[in-house]
Amino acid sequence: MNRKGGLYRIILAIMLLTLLGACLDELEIETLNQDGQSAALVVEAVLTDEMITQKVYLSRSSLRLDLETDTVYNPFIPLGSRPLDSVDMEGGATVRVLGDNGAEYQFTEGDEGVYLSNQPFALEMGVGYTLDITTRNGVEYISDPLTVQGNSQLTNIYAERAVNDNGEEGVAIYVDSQPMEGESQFFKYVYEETYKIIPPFTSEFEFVLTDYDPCALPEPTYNLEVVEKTGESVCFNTVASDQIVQGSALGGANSDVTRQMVRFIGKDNFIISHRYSILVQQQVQSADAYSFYETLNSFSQSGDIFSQIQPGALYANVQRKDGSTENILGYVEAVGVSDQRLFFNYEDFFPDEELPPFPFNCNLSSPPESHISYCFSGPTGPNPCPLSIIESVDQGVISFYAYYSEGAVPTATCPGPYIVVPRICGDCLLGQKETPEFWIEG
Amino acid sequence: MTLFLRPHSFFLKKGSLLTIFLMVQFTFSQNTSITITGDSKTSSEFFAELEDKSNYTFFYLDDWIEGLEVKENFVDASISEILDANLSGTTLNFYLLEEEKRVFLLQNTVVYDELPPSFYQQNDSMASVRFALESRGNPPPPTFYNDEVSQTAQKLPVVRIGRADEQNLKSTYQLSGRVINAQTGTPIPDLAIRVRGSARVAVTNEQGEYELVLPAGYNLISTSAMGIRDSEREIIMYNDGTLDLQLQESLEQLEEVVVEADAVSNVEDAVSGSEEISSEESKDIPLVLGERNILEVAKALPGISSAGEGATGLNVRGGKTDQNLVLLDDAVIYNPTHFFGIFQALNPFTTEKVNIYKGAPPVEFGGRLSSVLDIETKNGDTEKISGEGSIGPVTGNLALEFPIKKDTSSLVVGARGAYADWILKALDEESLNNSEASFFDGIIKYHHKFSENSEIRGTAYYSKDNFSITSDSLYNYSNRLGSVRWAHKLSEKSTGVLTASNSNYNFGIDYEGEGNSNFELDYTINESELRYKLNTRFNEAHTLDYGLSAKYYGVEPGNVEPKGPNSNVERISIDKEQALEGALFIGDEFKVSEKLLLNVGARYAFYAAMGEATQNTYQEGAPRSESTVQDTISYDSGEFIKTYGGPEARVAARYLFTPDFSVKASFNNSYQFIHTLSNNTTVSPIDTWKLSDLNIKPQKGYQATFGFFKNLNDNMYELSLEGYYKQMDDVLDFKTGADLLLNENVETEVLQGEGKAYGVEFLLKKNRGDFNGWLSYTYSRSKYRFDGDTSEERINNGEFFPSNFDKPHDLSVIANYKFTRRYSVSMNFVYQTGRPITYPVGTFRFNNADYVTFSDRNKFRIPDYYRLDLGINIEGNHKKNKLAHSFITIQVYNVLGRNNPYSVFFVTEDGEVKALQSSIFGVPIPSITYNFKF
Repeated sequence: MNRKGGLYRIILAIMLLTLLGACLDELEIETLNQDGQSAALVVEAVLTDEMITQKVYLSRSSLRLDLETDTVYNPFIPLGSRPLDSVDMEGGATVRVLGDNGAEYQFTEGDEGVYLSNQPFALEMGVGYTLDITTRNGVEYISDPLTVQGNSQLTNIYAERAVNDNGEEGVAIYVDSQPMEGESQFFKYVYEETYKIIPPFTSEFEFVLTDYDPCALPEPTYNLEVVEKTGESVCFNTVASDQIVQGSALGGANSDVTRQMVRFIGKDNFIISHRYSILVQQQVQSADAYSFYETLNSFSQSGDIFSQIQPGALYANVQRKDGSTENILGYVEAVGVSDQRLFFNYEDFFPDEELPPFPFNCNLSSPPESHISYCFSGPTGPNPCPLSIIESVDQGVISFYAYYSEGAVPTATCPGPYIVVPRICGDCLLGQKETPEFWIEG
Repeated sequence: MTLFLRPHSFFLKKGSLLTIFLMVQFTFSQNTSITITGDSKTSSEFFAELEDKSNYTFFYLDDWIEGLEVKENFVDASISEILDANLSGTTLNFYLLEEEKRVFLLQNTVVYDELPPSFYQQNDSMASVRFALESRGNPPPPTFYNDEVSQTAQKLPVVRIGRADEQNLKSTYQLSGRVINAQTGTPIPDLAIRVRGSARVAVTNEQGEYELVLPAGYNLISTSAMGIRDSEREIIMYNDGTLDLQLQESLEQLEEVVVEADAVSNVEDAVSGSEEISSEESKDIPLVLGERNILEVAKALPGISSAGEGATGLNVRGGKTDQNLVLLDDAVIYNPTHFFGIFQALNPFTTEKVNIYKGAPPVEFGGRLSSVLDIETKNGDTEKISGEGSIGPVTGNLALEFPIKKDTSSLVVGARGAYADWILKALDEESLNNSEASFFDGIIKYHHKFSENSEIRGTAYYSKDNFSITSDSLYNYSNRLGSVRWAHKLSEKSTGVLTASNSNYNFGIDYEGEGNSNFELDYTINESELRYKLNTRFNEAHTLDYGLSAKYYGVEPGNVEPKGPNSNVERISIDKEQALEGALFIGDEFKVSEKLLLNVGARYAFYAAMGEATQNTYQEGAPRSESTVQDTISYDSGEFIKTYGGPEARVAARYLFTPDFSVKASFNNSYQFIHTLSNNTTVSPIDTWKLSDLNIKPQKGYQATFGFFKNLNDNMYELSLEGYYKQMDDVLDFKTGADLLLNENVETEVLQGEGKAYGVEFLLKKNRGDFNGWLSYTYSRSKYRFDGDTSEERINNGEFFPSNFDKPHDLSVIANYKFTRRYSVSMNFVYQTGRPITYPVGTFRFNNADYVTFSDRNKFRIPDYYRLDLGINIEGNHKKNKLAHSFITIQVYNVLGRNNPYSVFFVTEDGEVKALQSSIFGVPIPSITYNFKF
């Protein structure tokens, strides 16, 4: 009922705000800035009962509310590509996981703020673990005791054509699971989706530009060749989930989970255009962890902010060892995991239907091959022509598509010898060209 | 020549009066000799002839000299001699203007040769001018009386007593007379006759006779007695005289003697922190869209506030909104507002008044920690059909009063409807095109008097709100209540009142969208109460109130039914809850001495949560959650799950230093067994009520008050300064992000903690005069603390934090000024500290996404709130033969157009967090309301 609860409050709030001649004004964020706040330590760790290299992330919160500079332009590159954005990672810390059975696991920093266990290890059920952190400046932190509550085996993963609550058509991915050991009632689902990308305007040929001097006089000098493409145009992108997806066994602890929806992908989403794969991991959570994620999720939805739900500080289950009060963000948990992977093609669900639109503008164009030397100082008239091919190739923004033919590009103002497309439409810019190891064509 | 002049035209304007005084030379001329015969002449013929012969111009009204006997003959007499002789023994005086050759005849009064010493200091209009005399030897100042502004509601003519004797002007005169029952002609004994604005009181004896010493000039006397309709008469005292009164019977409720001299109750009552607002009084106060709203007026009193415009519910002395017991004719009304609290759900024309108890309430009330709002409906007119109504921009109101049997029984019927849809339609917002909002309420009250010793009344009330904003969901809520009250006299000294009531509150959501998730949701709370209260007057010193009450609650916390054949919504039904609440109470008003009055009461409150139900028990020391459930216990139908209860004290004392200055102190504690569940920062109509059970304890409250009360200037001004300290235990709050609707185990989301509130309230009230109103200022704090065993059960690390409605400074000014009988203006000004709010203070990366991090609860405040409302009231003319009396109210709400923030919140748009401020009425809102009465 959580969603419905949210819904009625949203409606209530909208009613209150708009119906009564209410006004919404934007406030200067600066006016809200408060002194005395300092960046808090953010601890994130999901330790599992799987024999892997476990990871702990340490960072600092940002006092900025203006996220613009913190947002990656390309929505298909996940936020988690950590070096790419401006999160302050917390490097130089000492991280250990201690078990109450005497086990001790040391971690070593990999990328800044990312701590990897020195050896792969798996948490054992029935053992209480604590995460022990000493930051660079010597402050010691310890987490609440963590235990793996139980394990539940994913028994089935399947996709179906479905319509979501907003009336949108698409593919829904469901899982079923069966409890294995311990207490499993609360679940979180994380996934990693990998999809094949075939740019819509690929060509067997590509430009090769050498000896380019845009400033040469009287004309720019360059050597532009059209050669057969060396690499694949097809590539694969892998993105980790950034949503909080949770479920609980409705029949109480240790009952089966059936038809738990993990992901819904709209029919128009280009990621399912060709072949798509999802690796779903089910994590058995403790009740505390479940409610933490649930609350965090409710605060982050714009609807809930709209609707006057009482928000509040939500702190991590980590404290300072010296007992003094410090607000620490994030959460540390120990989960029992189970994975399953699923593949499907677009035509499995939408046979003979048009592929989803490519999310980038792919206008064909035919710009002139060259341009006036950038160092020409004489009088020039206005230039109605688009950026020249040599300059665009040099900047890496276009791809070869075809040789120019009359009428192929009706809008061309200064047609040149080639038809080109924005590079993202002709080359593989959205992922890796190597086929992932797990990939199975079908 | 005879001029027909209305007497008041002489006195209406201060300027013209002044002119007369300045031109006066006060010597009576003797130089003209007149010979005139009075034989066989009518008085008017005589005066016409005298006018002719004397060469003086006479000014008088024919009425005055009608029946005057003019028999004497005069020879060579001076005009003064002739007038002296003829007018002695009448109520007429005369006044000569020698220079002008004019004679003024004067009824009752005399013309003064100099201005009274206080004349130039008085800026008020004349009718309310009152003079304090330095010593009794001096003649009293003249009486200025302005007919137009001093009419009482009954429109009885002004009585002029005696003829002013210039030689014997006194500051006080004696009024005596006899009071008889207009119906039976028998004398009325024990009738109190009070003089407005002074402490003078006379009581009629067995023969209905009274004697009263009144100040010279204008007086307003009021009468009151059991079974006799209260009346008021305007009297102008020119000399000693008599006044006999004939009064009508009334259908007085037996158990309460209405003391008219309310003005002194500010000082004399032992109970403090109680306020009364009459619906009539509130009519001029400008409010949103011209809607009269008693509850809104209540917020202008010290110690009462709300979270903001559009926030339902009152916060009384730092208490939560669920801590107010709102009673409409003895039955609980769960949501007395329409439209998110913007309008009251009470018909202003059937509502008599509301009594608000912020401190120790009378012993018969209980079950809520902060306040009691006791709303009373009018008794109908037992003589003739009358009605009142209004048409405003949003609602139409109508109330009718029917006599069923003359002087015995009557019926009041009120109905109200809204046509608010146009507001929605008028907004240029496509998404609201399908929206609708409507409400109505209706009330019927029947009142029947069996005899002097027994009467009964019954009230039935229903209100309903419907609103939908999106086309797929329809919300509704409704109040339904009924009550019967039988008051009867058991003996000379005892009365008993038996009350039975039933209340029902319901809300529902009807969702019908495009998908397969259509559903209907339903919530209902129902309560029935039976109460018997006795009042025994033991002797002069002791008056006892005692009795018992029992209440049954039934709550259906929620059902979700799939709607339509395609719906795949799961059917959810949460078990019904039921409980009993009872109380035994006794209170004594103990008059220790003239100066010390004690009000001592005790109440034993008892509560039992009953099966059929299942309840979870949880591990000690661990946060309550599904994972810490230890055991699930099933209870049979009617089996007690858990009982709570305890004694409650109601103690109040008053010590009178002087008749108009007192000091009061009080202490009370109380239990509250039923709680509102809301995780909104403000209350919404779809917040549910939860009964205490195995895991949710009742709330407890303690309050102590101390204050000074002073009346000034013959009770014209009331002044009070009162401080309070309040402690609350086991008040409810929720874990962050709690989901409360349709939650089977609400206790896992609930925190119970403590609250404290303290403050100082100042009130200055001017009760009378053309300029009246009040100024209230409150400094108060309200803080809560939730300090559980685990971090999940703590808010702000277990420290006290300010509540959502903690507004330290709260200033309200309400003022009315009456220009003339027809025109008056009103003003309402409010200033409040901005309410606390929880802000985002930063962002952090977690789970591959950016999240906002919030400050500690209520660490910041939204900007301060202030608002000015103005209104003009225009009374229709008061011609007798008009079908209906009418008045028009033109009001502007929020004249300054202050964009008062209601809340500040943050949304993420295009990767950027934006702070938005919402306000409900950010612009001036004008309105015109037409009111009529017949």
